[in-house]
Amino acid sequence: MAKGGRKNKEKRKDFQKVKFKVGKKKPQADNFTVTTFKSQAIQIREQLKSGPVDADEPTTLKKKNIHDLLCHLNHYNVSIRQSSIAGMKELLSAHPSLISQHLAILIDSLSILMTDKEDAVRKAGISLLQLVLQATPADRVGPFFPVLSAHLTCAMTHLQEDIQLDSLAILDLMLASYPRLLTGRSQELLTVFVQLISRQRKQSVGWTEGELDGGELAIKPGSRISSHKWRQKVLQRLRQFLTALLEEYFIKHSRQADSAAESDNYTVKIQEHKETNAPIFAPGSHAHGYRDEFILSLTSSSSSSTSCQDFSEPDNLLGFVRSLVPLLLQCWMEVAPKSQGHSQAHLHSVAVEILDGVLSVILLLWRWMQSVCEEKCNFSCMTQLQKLYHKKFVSHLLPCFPYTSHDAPARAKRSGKATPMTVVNLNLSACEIMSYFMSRGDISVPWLRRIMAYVLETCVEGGSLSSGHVQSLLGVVRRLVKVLPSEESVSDILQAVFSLYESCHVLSAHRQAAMQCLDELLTTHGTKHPSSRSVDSLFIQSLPELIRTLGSVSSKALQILLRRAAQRQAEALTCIQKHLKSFVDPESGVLLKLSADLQVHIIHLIHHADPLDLDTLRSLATCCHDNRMSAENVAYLVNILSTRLLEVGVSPYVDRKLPFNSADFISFLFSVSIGSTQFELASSDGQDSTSQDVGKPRPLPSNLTSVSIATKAGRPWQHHSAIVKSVCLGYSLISSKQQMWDLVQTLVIKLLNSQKTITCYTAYAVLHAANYLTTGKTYWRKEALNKLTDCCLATLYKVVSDDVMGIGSSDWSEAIWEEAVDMLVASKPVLMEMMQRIHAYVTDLTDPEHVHHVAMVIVRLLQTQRLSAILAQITDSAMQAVNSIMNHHLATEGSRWVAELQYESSVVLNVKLQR
Amino acid sequence: MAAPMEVMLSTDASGMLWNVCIWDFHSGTALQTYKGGSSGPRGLCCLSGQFLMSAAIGKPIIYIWALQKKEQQQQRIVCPGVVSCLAASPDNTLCAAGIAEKIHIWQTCSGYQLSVLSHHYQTVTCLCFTDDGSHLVSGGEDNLVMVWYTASILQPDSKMKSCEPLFVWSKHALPITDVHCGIGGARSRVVSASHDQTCKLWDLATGQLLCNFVFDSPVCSVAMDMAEYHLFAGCSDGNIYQVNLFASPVQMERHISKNKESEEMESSVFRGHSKPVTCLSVSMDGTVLASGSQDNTACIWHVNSKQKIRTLSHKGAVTNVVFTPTPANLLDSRSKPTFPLQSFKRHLLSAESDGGRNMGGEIAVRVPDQESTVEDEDRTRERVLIREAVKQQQRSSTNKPNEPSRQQLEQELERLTQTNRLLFKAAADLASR
Repeated sequence: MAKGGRKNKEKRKDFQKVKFKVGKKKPQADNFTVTTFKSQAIQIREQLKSGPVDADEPTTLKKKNIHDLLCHLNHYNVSIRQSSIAGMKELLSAHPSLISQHLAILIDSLSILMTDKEDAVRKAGISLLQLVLQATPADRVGPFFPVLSAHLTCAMTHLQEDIQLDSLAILDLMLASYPRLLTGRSQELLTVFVQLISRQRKQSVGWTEGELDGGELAIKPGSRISSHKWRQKVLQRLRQFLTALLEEYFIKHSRQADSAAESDNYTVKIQEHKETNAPIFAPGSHAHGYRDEFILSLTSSSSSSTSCQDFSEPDNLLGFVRSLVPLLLQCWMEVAPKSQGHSQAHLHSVAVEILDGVLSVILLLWRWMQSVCEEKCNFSCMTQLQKLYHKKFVSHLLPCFPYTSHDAPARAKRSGKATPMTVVNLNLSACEIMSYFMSRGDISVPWLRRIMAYVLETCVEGGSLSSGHVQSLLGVVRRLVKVLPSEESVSDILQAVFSLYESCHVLSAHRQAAMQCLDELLTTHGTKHPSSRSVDSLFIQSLPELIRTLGSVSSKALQILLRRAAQRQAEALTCIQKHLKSFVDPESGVLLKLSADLQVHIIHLIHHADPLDLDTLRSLATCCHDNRMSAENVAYLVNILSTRLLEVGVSPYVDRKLPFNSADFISFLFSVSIGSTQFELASSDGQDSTSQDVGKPRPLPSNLTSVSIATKAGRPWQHHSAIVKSVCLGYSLISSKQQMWDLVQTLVIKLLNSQKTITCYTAYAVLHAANYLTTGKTYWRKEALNKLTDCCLATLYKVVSDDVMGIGSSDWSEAIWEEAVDMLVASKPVLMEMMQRIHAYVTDLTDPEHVHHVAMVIVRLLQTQRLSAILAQITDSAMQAVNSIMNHHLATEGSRWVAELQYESSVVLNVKLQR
Repeated sequence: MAAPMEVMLSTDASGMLWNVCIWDFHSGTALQTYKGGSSGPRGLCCLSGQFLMSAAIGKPIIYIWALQKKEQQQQRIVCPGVVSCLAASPDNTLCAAGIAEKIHIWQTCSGYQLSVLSHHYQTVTCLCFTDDGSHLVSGGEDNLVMVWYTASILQPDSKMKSCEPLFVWSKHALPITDVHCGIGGARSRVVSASHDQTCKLWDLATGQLLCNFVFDSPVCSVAMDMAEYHLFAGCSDGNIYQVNLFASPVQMERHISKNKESEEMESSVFRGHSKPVTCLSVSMDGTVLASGSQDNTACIWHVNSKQKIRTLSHKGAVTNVVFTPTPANLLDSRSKPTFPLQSFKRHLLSAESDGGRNMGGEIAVRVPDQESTVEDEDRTRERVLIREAVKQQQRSSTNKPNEPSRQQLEQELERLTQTNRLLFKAAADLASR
C-alpha cells in the first residue's frame, strides 16, 4: 500500500498547480538560460584587404570596376546602359591596357549595342566601339571579326531606319581601321550594303539577269537618306570599300608573284672546300608560304540561299557589277551637266564630287573585273561587260568630257584648292574607264581622239599630279599606245610622257614610275619613228644624272642602262663611255658611295665600256683599295675584266678587240693586288722612319734586305687573298705564264726599288704572284732574284720576330709564311741567294735581337719538312750561313736558340758543327 | 674492233691534225679523225650517227662529213654569216644555227630554211634542243636566255609576225656562255651559265627560276648528268665545280672531334686545267665527265672519285667535247646514210615557194636497202601480229549473223536449270537415304 501511496503522491506532485502570487517574484523556470553577455570593443588599425584582384582593379569615379560595367552594358534599363557606357569610356580611356585584357567580352557586348533600340545608347555604343577598335591592332581583332561583321550585317538589314543609318557609321569605322579584315567578309557586306543604298528588294538575292535594271537608288522623300550629301557619302564609302578590297587583292597577288620571285633568293654559294648540296625539289627546300589564315566556313558554295556569293568568280562579279552600275549611272545622270545645252560652268562642287565618286567606283569595278578575269584567264565576262556598257558610257560620260577645261580656275577660287584635284581625278578616271573600251579597230572614234588630246595635255602640264594620278595616267598611256595605229601619234605620246618625266622632281616616285613606263614604251617603239628615236636618246642621256642621285631611282636607272647596253644600243654605250669615268672617280664618283649590291651594277657597266683607258683603270684601282668596296666586288671586277680576254684566247680567227691596252691592264691588276696605292706606301714609308716604336721589332739593316714589312690594318686577310687569287687568274688569262712573269717581275722590281717599306699585303701579293707564275724551269733575272730574296727574307724575318715578340696576328702571318716557304721550295736560286746573303752580312749585325731572329728564321726553315730535301742539296751554302751565325760574337754559347740552331742543323744537314 | 658503247667527239680551235676526232675515252685511242678546217665553240653536232656537222671558226661555213668515210671533208655549206653555235634536233629533222643575233632553222633532209628568229640583240652564243625536240633554248651575249616552242617556230604565220619566244629569261647580268637541257621534254630543267659567275636552273614548264648557283669565277660551261644528280660548272679559273642536286645525307651518328674541318675538306672540285674550261659533257651512265679547256687539253674525269683518268692533248684550245652513243656507221665503212643531207638554202621557204608550188611538201628520203637489223625484225614481227589481230577482229565481226538468237539462249537456259534441278534432287535423295 505504502508503495502505491508514494506513487500517487509523485503523480500528484507532477500535476500540482503552481500558484503565483501577486507581489511575489516569479520563480525562474527550470529551463532558463542565461542570455546576458559581456562585450569588449576591438580596435582595427586598418581594413583587411579583401583580395588581391579586386584591389588593383581600376575603377571609375563612381567606384565601379570593369566587371560591374560589363554586366550593365546590356542591362534592360536604358539609363543604366547609358551610364555604364559612359563609365566604360572613362575607364578605358584612362586604362587602355584593360581593352586588350577584356577584348572578347567587350566586343561581344558592344556589338550587341549596334542594334540597340535607343538612339542615344546606340550612338554612345558606337563611339565606345570606336575607342576600343582604335586601340586594337588588326591582327588582334581578327578572331572576333566574324562576330562584329555578323552584328554589322544585322544592323544594316535592321527594320528600323535609324539603326540602318547608324550602321553605316560603324562600317566607316571599320573601313578606316581594318580594311583588310573587312574584305574577308566582303561578300555579305557588299551585298547588304548595296541593298541598303538601293531600293531593290528581291526575294532571291543572287545576282540574276532579271535585275539588270531593277535597281534604283533609294530616295525617300523626307527621310534623311535622300539628299546629295547622303549620296556623296555612300559613294565615298563604296569607293573606300572597293579600294580596300582591290588593295587586298593585289597584295595577295603580288605576294604570289613574290613567292615566284622568292626563288631568286634560293641562291647557293659554291664553296671550294666543301661539297655543295642543293636539293631543288626536296620537300621544304624552299617553302615560300602564303601565310594567310584559312578558315573553313560555310559560305558561298553551299548556301546559295544566303546573300553571299564568291566574287572571285567572274560571273558572280559580273552580276554584281550589273546591279551596281545602273544605280551609279542614275546618280551620274542626276548631277551631270546636260550636254551641250548648258555650259559646264554650272557644275557645282558637290556635283563634281558626286561625279568623281561615281566614276571612281566604276573604275574600281572595272579594275576588279579585269584582275579577276586575268586570274581565271577567262575574259568572256570582261568582253560581255564591254559590250553592255560601251554605248551607255560613251553617251553618258563623255559628251562634255574634259570637265576641267572651262571653269577650273573659277572653281578653284570658289571652293579652295581641293576641287581642281578632284576634277583632274574625275577626268583621269573617265579616261581610264574608257581606256578599257579602246580597241585597235575603232581608232577613228571621236571620243578616243578627245581622250588622247586630254592625256597629252595632262602629261605636258604634268608636275602637280599626285602619285595615284600619275599611275593611272601612265596606265592610260600604256593602253593608248597599244591601240594607236600610227607610229607618229605614238611618238607624240612618247614626247608627252618624256616631258612629264622631265618635269617631275628627280627623287620623286613619279619620276620612277614615269621612267619605268618610258622604258617599256621605248623598248618597243623607240626605234620606229625619228622623233621617238630622239626621245629615246634624250631619255638615255638623262639616266646618268639619276644614277648620281644614289636613291632608289638610281638602281632602277642603272638597270635600264645596263639592259640597253646589253642590247648593244649605240646611245647607251656612248652614254656609258661618257660617264663611266666620273662614276668610278675615287673622290666624287658614285661607285664608292653605293651599297655593295649596287656596286655590282656599276661593275657590269664597266663590262660594257669599250675603250677602257688608263685613267679609268687607275681610278678603278684606287677604288679597289678603298674599304667601301667589298673584297667580293673587287674580285668580281677583276674576273669580269679578265673575261674580256676569254674569247680572244679561243682562236686567232675571232676578231675581237680588247677594250683596253693589255699593258695597262696588267699594271691595273698588279696595283689592285698589292692592296694599297703607291702614294700610300710612300707616305707610310715616311711615317715609319720618323717614329720607331720601341715595342716593335726593328727592321733588318739594308745590306741584308732592302725592304721591311709593315703590318697594316686593312680588310680581312681572307678577302685580300681572294683578290690576289683572282688577280692571278687574270694574269693567266692574258698570256702564258712565262710571258706574264717577264712582265710582272719588272713591275715587282720597280715597286721594290721605289719602296723601303711594304705592307704585308703587298708582300703576300708579290710572293703569291711569283709562286703562281713561275715554275722550276723559269729563268731568273738577277735583279728580280735579288728583289724577291729581299722580299722573302724580310717576310720571314718579320713573321719570326713578331712571333718571338708575341705580337703576331696568326691569320696573316701563317699564310704569308707558307707563301714564302713555297717560294723557297719552288725556286732554288732564291734560297741560295738568301743563304749566301746571310753568310756574307750576318757578321755586320750589331743588334743581338737581329742575330737572334735571323737564327730563328734559319731554325724554322730547317724545321720545315718540305724544305729539308732541298736544303740537303745545298748543304754547303746552308752550312756557311749557319756557321756564320754560330760564330757571331753575339751568339753566346748558353742561349737557347744557339743550341736549337746547332741541333736542327746537325739533324737536317747531317754535318757536325764546329765553333 | 670491239666497239665501246659510247664514244667522245672532240674538236680544237687550230684544226692542225684534224677537225673532229672520235675517241674511245676509256683507252684514250683515237678511233677516227675527220679533217679539214676547224670547229668553233658549241659548233659540233652529230646527226643520228650518220653525219657530223661542225661550224667553222670565223668563216661562214658548216662542214659536213658522212661518218663512215674517212677522207677529207665531203660537204661544205656556205651560210649567210659566221655560225656562232649549232644544234640539231634529237630527231635530226631540224638544224638550228646561231648567226650573229639571228637563229636560222633549216630542215636537214630538204635544206629548206624554215624560219629565222631575230629576238636576240647580240650574238647568239649557245643553242640547245630539249630531248624531245619540242623546245629550243638559246642564249646570247645580250644576257638573255630564250625558250622557243618548236611547233610555233615552224608554223607559217599568216600575219608575217615574227615568232615570239615562249619565255625570255633576263636574270643574268652578263653574257650567257652555255645552256644545258635536262631530260624530260617539255617539263625538263634548263641550266644556263654566264660570265656573271652564276649558273641558273630554270623550270622549262613554268619558266620559273628554281635555283641560282654562285661561283667564284666566271662560268664558261655547264652540264648535268642524265639523272640530274649533279651539276658541273666549268669556270674560267680552270676548275670544274660539282654541285649535288640532292640534299646532303642525314647522318644519324656524328663523330665529334677536334679537327672537324678535315672531315669536311672533301672537296667537290675537279682541279687540273690551267685555263678556262669551255666545254663539258657527261657520259650516259653519269660516271665519266669530259672537259675541254683553253689550255689545249681535254680531260676525262671519274665523277665519283674526282680523279683525272686521262688527258687528251690537242693542238689548240679545245672547243667541243661531246659524248655520243657509238654510231653504227662508224664501224662499218660500207654502210650508207639513210637520208640525204641537202645543202642549206639561203632564203626562207615561203619566199621560195612563191615561185614554184610544185615542189612544196615533197621530201626525198632514201629508204635503206640493207639487211634488216634486230630492231627492224621486231618491227616486222609487231606488224604481223597487228595484222593477225586485225584479221581476228574482222572474222569475229563477220560471224555476227551466226550468233544464237535470244530464244535459243533462253531454251538453253531452261534446259540447264532443269538438269540442275534434277541433279539437286538426286543428290538430296542420296543424302536422305
